[in-house]
Formats: sequence, C-alpha cells, structure tokens
Amino acid sequence: MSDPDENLYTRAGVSDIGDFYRTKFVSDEVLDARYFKALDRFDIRFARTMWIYDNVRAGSNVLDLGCGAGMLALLKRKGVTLTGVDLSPECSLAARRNGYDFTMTTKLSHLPFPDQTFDYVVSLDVIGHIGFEEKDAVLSEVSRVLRADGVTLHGIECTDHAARKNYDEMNPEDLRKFVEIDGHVGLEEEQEHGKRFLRFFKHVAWEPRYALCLSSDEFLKQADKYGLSFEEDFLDYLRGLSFKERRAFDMAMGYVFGKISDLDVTLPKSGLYVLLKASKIPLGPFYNEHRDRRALYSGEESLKELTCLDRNSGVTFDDGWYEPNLLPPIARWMSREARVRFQANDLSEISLDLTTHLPDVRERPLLLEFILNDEPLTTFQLCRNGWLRVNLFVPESLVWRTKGNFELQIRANRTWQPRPANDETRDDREISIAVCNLEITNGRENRERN
Amino acid sequence: MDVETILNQIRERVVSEENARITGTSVSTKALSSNGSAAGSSQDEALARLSEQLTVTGRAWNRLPPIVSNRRGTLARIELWIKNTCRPLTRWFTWEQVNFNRAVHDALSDAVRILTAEVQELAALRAQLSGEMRREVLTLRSDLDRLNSSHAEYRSDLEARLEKTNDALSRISNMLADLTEESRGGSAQLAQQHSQLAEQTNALREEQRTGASQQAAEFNQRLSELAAELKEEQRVCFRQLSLEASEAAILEDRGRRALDARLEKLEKSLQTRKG
Repeated sequence: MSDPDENLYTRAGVSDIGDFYRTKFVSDEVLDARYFKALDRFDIRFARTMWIYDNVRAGSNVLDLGCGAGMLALLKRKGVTLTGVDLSPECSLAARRNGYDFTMTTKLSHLPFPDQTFDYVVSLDVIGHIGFEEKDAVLSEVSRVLRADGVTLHGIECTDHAARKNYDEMNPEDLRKFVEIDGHVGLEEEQEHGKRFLRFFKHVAWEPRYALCLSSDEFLKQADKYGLSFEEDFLDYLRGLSFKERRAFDMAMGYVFGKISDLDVTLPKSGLYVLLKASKIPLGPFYNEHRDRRALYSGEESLKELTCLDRNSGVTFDDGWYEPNLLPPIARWMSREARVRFQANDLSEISLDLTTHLPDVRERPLLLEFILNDEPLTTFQLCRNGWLRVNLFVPESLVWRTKGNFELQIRANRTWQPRPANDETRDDREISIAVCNLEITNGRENRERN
Repeated sequence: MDVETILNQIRERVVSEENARITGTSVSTKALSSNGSAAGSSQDEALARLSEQLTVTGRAWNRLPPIVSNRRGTLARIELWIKNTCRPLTRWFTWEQVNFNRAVHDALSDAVRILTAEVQELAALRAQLSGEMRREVLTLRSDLDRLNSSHAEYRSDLEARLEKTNDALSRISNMLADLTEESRGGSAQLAQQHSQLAEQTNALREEQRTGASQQAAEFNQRLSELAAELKEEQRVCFRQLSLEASEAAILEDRGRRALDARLEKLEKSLQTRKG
C-alpha cells in the first residue's frame, strides 16, 4: 500500500519536524521545580513525572530524551543533574529556563554524549513519536549512553491493533489527520514495545497504564480526536466542568493513579499507554524504587536564611493559587481567596508585588484584604493595572502570639475569566491578582537597617 | 335700283368707316392698355373690313359707273340715250381701268390672304406665347405661392422662434433678475457665512490649540503611565532576579559552609589517625 522506506511524517505532510513540535509542545508553562506545589503530586498531569521521580536516585545523573518544555524539571528537587535533548531548539530553551542543568538540540538517534554517561535515561511521550525506521537506532543510543548499572524509564503511547487501523491501512488523508493530532508516527502495542526493548536490554518490565485514569481533557481528546468510545452523558458532563471542577477531577484521578502504583496493581492492556522500565542489570521494584518525597514538602531547613517565599519549598501555597505563569516575571495568579503558610522568627514586615489584569479595574476598583493569622493587616482598593509594591507591617503583639507559624491570607472581592470561550486557547480560570516577590523581613534586620 | 343700292352701300361704308376711325383711337388706347390682346381684334376687324372691300372690288372691278343725268324731262332722256348709245364707245379707255381694278383686287386679295395667314400665325404665336407665358406665369405663380407659403411658414416659424426667443429672453431676463436678486442675497449670506466661518475657524483653531495641548498632555500622561508601568515591571523583574541571585548566593554559601565543615571533619579525622 505504501513505500515502507518512506517516512510517516513525510507521508503525513510534515516537512519540518522540529517546527511541528515547536508549535505543538512549546509553551510558557512554568515547570521549574522551585515553584512545584506539593499538592500537585496528586494531579494526574504529573502522574508520569511522579513515577520517574519515585524511581530516580537522589543526586544521580539523568538524561531526558525529548525533554519538551521540561516536564521532568521536578527531578531537580532530588538534586539530580538533569540533561535534556530535543529536536526543537525552542523546547531546549524552555527546558533550560525551567531548571534543566544542560539542554541541547539534537536527533535522538545521534546523542552527543560519551558512552555510559547517565545513571538514568528517561522519556515521557517520546517513543511513540519516533518512526519505526529510527526506533532501534534511538534505543541503541540509549543503551550506549546509559551506565552499565543504569536504568532507562519511559512513558510510551500505545495503540491497539484490534481497535485502531495500522498506519499501512490508513489512506493519506486519515494518516494526515492522525499525525496532525499529536505527531504519533511510531505507535505500537505494549508487548511490541517490550519486545523491542528486549533486543537492547536484558531486563525489561512494563505496565499498561491510563486504562482507568485519565485527565478530564484527555478523556475529551481521546473521544473527540481519536474516536474512543465513552458514555456520551459523561463526556457532556466533563465538557461542562469549570476550571476548579476539572482540577478536582484531575486530582481525584491522579490520586487513584498513585494508589494503583503504590499497591502495585497490574492493570489490563489498554492500548493507550505503557510505563516501561529496562536495564542491563536486574530491575528493582517497578514503582517507588527510590521513593523519597521529603523534598516536595515544606521543611524548616529550606526556610533558613531565605527571605523570599516564592521559590522556597518550605512555604505552602494553598489551592487558592494557580500554577505560576511567566508574565513576566514569574508570578502566581490568585482566585478570590488564597493563603500562604510559612515559618519565620521575629517577623516584622511582609512585602510583595502584585498586579491585576481586570479590564475594568479603573471603573470598578478591586478590594483587597490582607489578613495574617486571622488578624487584618490592611485593606485597600486597587484601581490600576500596573505592578504595585505592597509593604505590610506586622504588629509585635501578633508575632509573640504565633510562635513563628504564620498564615497570610489574601482576599479579593471579585474575579474574572481571561478567555472563557471553549476553544484552543481557553482560559476559564477565575483570577483576581498575580503576586510575586513575596518577602519577609525580621525585626533584627529592620533594627540593623535603621 | 341697282345704282341706288350701290349708293346706299357706299353711304353705309362711309358711315362705318367714320365710326371705325372714331373708335380706332379708343381701340388703340385700349390695345395699349390691354397688352396687345385688343390689337388682335383690331387686326381681325381690319382684315374683315378689307375682306368686305374685296367683296366690293371683286363684285365691281369690271363694272362701269351707271349712266346718270341731272336733267329732267326730254332732255334727260335724250341725254341718257345719247350716253347709252355712246357707252360702247368708252370701252377702250375703261379697259385699262378694269385691268387695274382687277390687279388691285388680286393684290389686295393676296395681301389679305397673307395678312390673314400672318394674323393666324401671329395669333398662334400669341396663343403659344400666351400659353407659355401663362404656364410660366402659373409656374411663377406656383413658385411664388410656394415661396409665399414657405415664406409664410418661415415667417410663422420665425415668428414662433421669435416668440420663443422672446419668451426665453423674458425668462432669462427674469432669471437674471432673480439671479441678480439671489446673488445679491447669496453674497450677503456668503459674507455672513464667511464671517461665521472666520469666527468658527478662530474658535476651532483655539479649540485645536487647547485640544492639541490637552491631547499632548493626555498622551504624555499615558506615556508617562506606560513608562511608569514598564519601570514597575522592570523593577519587579529585577527584584525577582535579585532575589534569585541572593537565593543562589545563600545556597552557594550554604554549600561552601557544608564543604568547609566536611573538610574540617576530614582534616580532624586525619589528624586523629596521625596522632
């Protein structure tokens, strides 16, 4: 039916693969590990990242194949040396911006590293994007740069030959549409991936995943673009969810996903996704081989000497804060109400920069309240869109009562949705203000300054 | 009897000639006034008279005068006898008279014939001429009529045009009068508008001056606001970078101190081993 030597990208009309992936996967998303919120470990969006995180040894040397915007930046919390390679220079830059130690643009079948360089070679959603003619070359390179005792971990998109057409069975238009969705030109069934890895690694284990747990967006994508069958009323329900409801749904799905891993439950073949682990030496546990999540939570150690709370892992930003965005600078958008919990000794002042993008803030000022440990600090009306520096002085009486544990609460009297329409650029978050450069000053510093 | 008849005829002829002479003047006058049409009739009359004379000459060209006597009685008879007896004796000298009379009669007859032919020819010519003249006159009259009609048409047309022209002229003059009036009014209005425009121009200029200065002030204000916003954004970004730098410095210092501590610990353990 088709020339077997012909590249599937070419057959699908994709001439510049780097540009194709740049337009699909480059974003201004902030994935920097310093901004990671501990609660997000339950988010289904980070489920694969958490599987890698729990299987990588702290302080090791990790290569991320096809790093994209840097989905594995969280590994920096474990003190790993994180290297990323990608076809797209923009993706490499984005990953570098998100905290990767080293990134470069290269073909995955010609890795510019010496033999046995990395403890781990990992990838998420990459193997399914590699053409069949190149897959063995890539795995050969993975095997080459991996240390003898190294482990390679992959999250791989799969297919089900019984349910879906093979590439050879697709006409050019079907193929173009299929590749246009995500760029999948190398989908195989779970066991086919396993067999391929077995040609390069003595020990290979894989677990079909995502048979049960998908994010709300992924459910809709699989139904609308890949034609998978789900109950129509369930899809309608998902389409009607608000941002917060989708977040709750994804958190629940992520929680179940994590529990399935923790309980080492083997799921049936799904034809959607497989987690695969391979090595030249015998493998350890498939899940949680090096589980140590302490670095994700707040701890007193990290607070010492650091007065900026934005990137401090000892500070807890509750779920009233959305993920950080690069405005610039990097700032967190807040819903109607949000809290920051931190520890400080001899706190005398809290300062922060804030802004709003509310379009009618000049006509209808935004009322903001700042409350520390249930004590109102200040209230004012914001009536312009630019950045504003706010200094909040903390009464000494309050500091004495709290014994160093503080909770700053910010309330806004209204919110707005930037792009609520249901299209590709939908942003239906209910946001009020963005906050950054959140600093604390202790009394001793103030006295020294004076 | 015969002589008496002849004498009566002579008398009648003389009377008619006298009448003819008397009316000839009026005829000739009439002929002159009637453009020759009466001339033909006078010629015909003359020819008729001539023909009558010829009948006389034709009848009497070979006759001798009758024997007459102014005496009475016996003398008269004797005389008449003698004369009658002597008549044949006079034949010798009357013969020539008879020849002459005949010649005159023939010549006159020829002349009458010729004249008659001439008159007829003349009459034919006159008729032809008069016919031609009549036709010519008719043609001329028709031409004249045509000319007259065309002239009348032309005249009526001309009159109509003239009337129209007069109307147009009157209208134009009315319009001119109106226009003049209007122009006078327009001029006044224009002058008024001009003055208003001048006033408005001045007002607009003044407004523009104030508006431009106001716009410039607003623009400057907006620009300064944007500049202030940009400076604020830069301040926030630089503040973030500064904080990140200080965080990095603190982490580096923390790492350095940890290394120092480990180094110190190693040195101590080495010293302990040596000791």
